[in-house]
Amino acid sequence: MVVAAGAFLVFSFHRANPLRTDLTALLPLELQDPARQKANELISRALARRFVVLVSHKDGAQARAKAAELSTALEGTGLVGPIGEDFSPDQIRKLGALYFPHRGGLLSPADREALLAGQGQELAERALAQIAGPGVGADARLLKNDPFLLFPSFLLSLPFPATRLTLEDGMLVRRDETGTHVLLPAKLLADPFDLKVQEALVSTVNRFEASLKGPDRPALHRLGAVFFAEAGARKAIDESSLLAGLSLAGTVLLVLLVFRGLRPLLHNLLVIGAGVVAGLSACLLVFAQVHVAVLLFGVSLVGIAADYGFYYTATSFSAGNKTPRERLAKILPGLSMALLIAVLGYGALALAPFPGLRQIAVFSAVGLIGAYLTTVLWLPVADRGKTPAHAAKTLKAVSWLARLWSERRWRALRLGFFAGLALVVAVGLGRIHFDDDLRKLQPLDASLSAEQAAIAAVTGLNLTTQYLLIEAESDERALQTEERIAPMLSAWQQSGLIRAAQSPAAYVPSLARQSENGKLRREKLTEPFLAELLEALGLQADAINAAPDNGLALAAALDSRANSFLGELVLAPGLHVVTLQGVTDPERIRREIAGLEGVKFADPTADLSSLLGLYRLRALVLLALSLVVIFALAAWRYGLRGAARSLAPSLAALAVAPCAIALLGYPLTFFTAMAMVLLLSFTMDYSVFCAEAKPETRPVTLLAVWMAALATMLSFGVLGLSSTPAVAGFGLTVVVGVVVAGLLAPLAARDRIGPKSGNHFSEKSDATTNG
Amino acid sequence: MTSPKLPGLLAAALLTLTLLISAAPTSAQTVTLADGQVLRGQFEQKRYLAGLANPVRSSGSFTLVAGRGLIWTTTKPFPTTTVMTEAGLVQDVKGKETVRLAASRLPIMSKLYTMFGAALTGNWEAMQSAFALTRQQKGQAWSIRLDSLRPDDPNLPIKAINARGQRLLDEVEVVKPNDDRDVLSFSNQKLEGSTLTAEEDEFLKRAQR
Repeated sequence: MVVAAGAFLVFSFHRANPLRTDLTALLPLELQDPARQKANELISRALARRFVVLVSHKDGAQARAKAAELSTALEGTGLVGPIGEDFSPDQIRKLGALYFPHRGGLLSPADREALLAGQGQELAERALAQIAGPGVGADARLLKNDPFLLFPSFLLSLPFPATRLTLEDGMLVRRDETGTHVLLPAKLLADPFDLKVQEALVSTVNRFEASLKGPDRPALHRLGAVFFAEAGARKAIDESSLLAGLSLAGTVLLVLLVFRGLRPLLHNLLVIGAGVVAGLSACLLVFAQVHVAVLLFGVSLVGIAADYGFYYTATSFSAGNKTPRERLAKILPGLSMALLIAVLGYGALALAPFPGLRQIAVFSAVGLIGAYLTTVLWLPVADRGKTPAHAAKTLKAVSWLARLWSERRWRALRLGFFAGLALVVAVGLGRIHFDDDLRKLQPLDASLSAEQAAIAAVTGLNLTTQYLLIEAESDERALQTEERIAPMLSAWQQSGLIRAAQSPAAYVPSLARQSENGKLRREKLTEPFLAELLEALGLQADAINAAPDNGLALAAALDSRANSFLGELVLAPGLHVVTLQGVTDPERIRREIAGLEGVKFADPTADLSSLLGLYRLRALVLLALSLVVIFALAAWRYGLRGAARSLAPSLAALAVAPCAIALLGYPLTFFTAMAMVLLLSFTMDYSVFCAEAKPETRPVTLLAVWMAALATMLSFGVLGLSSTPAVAGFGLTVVVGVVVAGLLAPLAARDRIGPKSGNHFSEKSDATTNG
Repeated sequence: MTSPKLPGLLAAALLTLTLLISAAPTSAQTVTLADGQVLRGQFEQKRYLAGLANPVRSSGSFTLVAGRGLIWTTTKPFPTTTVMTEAGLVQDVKGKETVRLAASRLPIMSKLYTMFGAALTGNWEAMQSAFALTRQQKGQAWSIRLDSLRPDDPNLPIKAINARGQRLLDEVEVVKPNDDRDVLSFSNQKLEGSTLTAEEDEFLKRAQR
């Protein structure tokens, strides 16, 4: 089976790289609000496909030449659509062609206001001033079709995002005191979260950058989700390889140190390997892909899968004349109980609706079962049953350590230890703070963020993720809603609450608004003022082509593809997005739209953060539930008192770990909460091993427990080294908890009814020292 | 991620035309304005539009203030003032602001004034990337012809420019792809020290806001 799983893995990785890198793939499939979920998905998909590269040089010609070169190189990858196509002359013509036949109903907001206020005369004079003055080069054809020049005014009012770029010979350019900047706006044709796409694209840009030599080479800046995703994935993969390497090396060293032999090492590597192969292939079988973060967490399995192997191998220390099978039989109840609890614990993860956690759950549960089966089925067969020479000495050392818990003379030390734990809890409890801000949990690559800032400074270009979601029964209704909120949006803009907004209705007014505009134009402008204007121009009335009255339907505008922004604002019929740039006070926006039907404020990052907060709470509830289930299981097997004792180390670990990391300055996040869920299942292993052990095997058990704890500390300790705070906090929580639970594990040993029932440490001491 | 505005570009193109209208000195004789110096003059513009029996006429005066901006004051057919600065373009009709095109929204607006100034003072280089230049010199008189390198570019709807002058620009003709033409004549150009009227100063200040 292991071979089959291995072959499946080779096949999977050979066929296509199944590693996923987008954060959203880790996150819940279900939100409370399906429309918003859909909007978030569509928007992030559209945004994620866009990226820009800025080429800057003090010499304009150089900047343009290099930008053209890079443009060709990017298009040559086949992954990128024609660069700058939105700004081609052809596209501008398309835009004019789309709107022109429908100009009768199209008015700029200011012109509409003027007509509503009865200021038609002013519009007429403005037209004449423009026709005669230096401002506009209107031609006769335009004048005959639009004598008041309302059409250029409408085009100018379209809310295209304000940037400081201008179009020169098909390139977007900005000149400032440092030189010329050429912006290449590009759209990926492939999935930006596909590792292969990322590598191909980033290496193309990197190669180009490397080819620029000399002291006055052009500067390159890049901005786009694909670059952030690539940097994140590279970091995660580098980190997980490094951490996995460290963790494995530590585990190998530990095994060599304790068991002093190649055979035990091979046995334990076999157990770990079988676990990882089984887990990963199960994950691929179920989900078809694995997130790199899951891989990172999967590293921890190296430490956990080793527990069973350690326990079995440790039995060889007191083998005596027992056969491998007999030794296995002795520890089998402990192993099985531990597996049952661990699978239950990981199973709890699968209940959380985070695809990433489900992957971890499947990875871990199947991996542990694989490790268990390997231990139970293979190790006794491969075992030669020799007791190592250093066994007695090692067990003696372990027993001595265990006596710290039982002998009276170490009482002060024990009390000191408990006092220390109590102090950590007492002080740490007050320092616990919750923070689910996604931006802090997964900080963006610093150098890319700097490039983003540089691009924003030069071009005024910014990533926007906040928007209003408009829901209505039809496009027409949605457009009308947008027109109702338009005055509010401009008030927001004036008061500095937002910098700009883009609404579908600003590009294509509702049909009702268009017909109203047509009427306004006729009654307030054409009828009273046209004759006068024509006279001033020397034009005959019959030369004028009346503006047609047919409205422009949103669907037609979308079909024309004249405006690529519009397509991104209309998600589905009746489901529209009004993007907001430069929001300064999200809470005020939430308040102001509170009473509006069909209008919602969406802030995907904040939504995700509050969702993480919600799931942090759920994870803690999950933890409490697991505790109840485990306590019930333990009570069934060990009785109420035994259950309380066997749970004591875990409870202590769960109390101390969050307080300790709060003392270290880490916030309590969703990931800390998940670490605590895992912590429960790890530490229960130790308790169960100890509780199930017969007194005579107790030193062997303790040896296995402490090795397991050390291995876990190694694997999670290295996670603590991760530069991603979420991962580091996760690792540290587990490490602290495992240290506490490992030290307290002897307390879980089953109580013996004895004469001196007042002090169970001394009661146990007999059992331990006898062992 | 977003990108610039198309209609802005359309308008910018329309305005590019304007700036070329008043373009014109020689390569041999350029006038250098020190910061704060003022070039004043009169203009008359005839705009020939196909399909209109008579040209649309306008006339008035202009004031080019080095380092600050250009004030284009139309007195006929009715009072209109257009001010171009690095901050953009502002147009007043009968004393009321009717058009404001900020350079922050239309970056070309900031260049408009620079190029205007360059043209009025005799520097054609700004147009060399888009036009083929042919110069002629007869004694003091010069003429120049600019032919568009891309006559069908919707961003620069100009087919050709003809200009002539002596010390300064006397007349310029701008021909559009559809053969509409603008003919501008300049007269009474004077180079002065810094002597702005309070009104002119106010215009420039408002336009720079």
